Amino acid sequence: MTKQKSQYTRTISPKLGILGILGFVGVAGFLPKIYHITEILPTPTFFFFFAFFGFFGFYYEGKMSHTLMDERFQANAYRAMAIANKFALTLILAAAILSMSVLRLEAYDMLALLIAVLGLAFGLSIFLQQYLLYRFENEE
Amino acid sequence: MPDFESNLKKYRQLAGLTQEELAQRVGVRRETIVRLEVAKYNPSLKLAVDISRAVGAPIEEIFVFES
Repeated sequence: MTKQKSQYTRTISPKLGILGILGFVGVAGFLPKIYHITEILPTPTFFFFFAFFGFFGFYYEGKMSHTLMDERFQANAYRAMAIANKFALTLILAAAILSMSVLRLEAYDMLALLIAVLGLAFGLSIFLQQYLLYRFENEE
Repeated sequence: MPDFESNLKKYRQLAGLTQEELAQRVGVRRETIVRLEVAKYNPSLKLAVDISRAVGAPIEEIFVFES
C-alpha cells in the first residue's frame, strides 16, 4: 500500500520563525580571530550556524499553514525555489571567486569566509523559498 | 506570461456557481479562481478542460488568447 501524499501544506505555528535567532550564534565564528587563536582550524565552523537564519522562513510557512497545494501554489513554489537557489549559488560562487582573486585572502580567512558564506547561503535559500512563495501567493 | 482575456466570471455566473463551488469542483483554491477571472494566472490545459466542463462552455470562449 502506498502512502497518500497530503494535498495540503503542513500546519505549523508562525512563532517557530523565532528559531531563526539561532543564526546569530554564527557570529561566534569571529571569536578565534578576535582572541588570536586562528591556528585552531576547526573553530570557524561556528559560521555554519548562519544556516539557522533559514528558520525565519517558518514565519511565512506558518502563515500558509494548511493551504491546498493546487497547481498555482506548486508553480509559485517552483518559481520561488528557482530564484532562491539562484541567489544562494551566485553568492557562493561570488565569494569563492572573490576570495581567490580580488580579496587575496590568507588560507584561514578564506576558509572562514567560505564557511560563513556557505552557511549564510543555505539559510538564505531556505528563508527566501518561503518568503518569495508567500509574496507570490499574495501579490495582487 | 501570454496576455489573454478571461470570460470565466460570465460563464461561471451563467452556470450558477459561486467561486468556492467552482474551486471545489476543479480541485483548486478560491484564490486561484479569482486570479483566473481577472486573467492574472495562465491555467494548465488540464485545469482549463476541468473548468470548461464545470461551467459547460468551450475553453476558447472562456479563455481568449490573441492569435
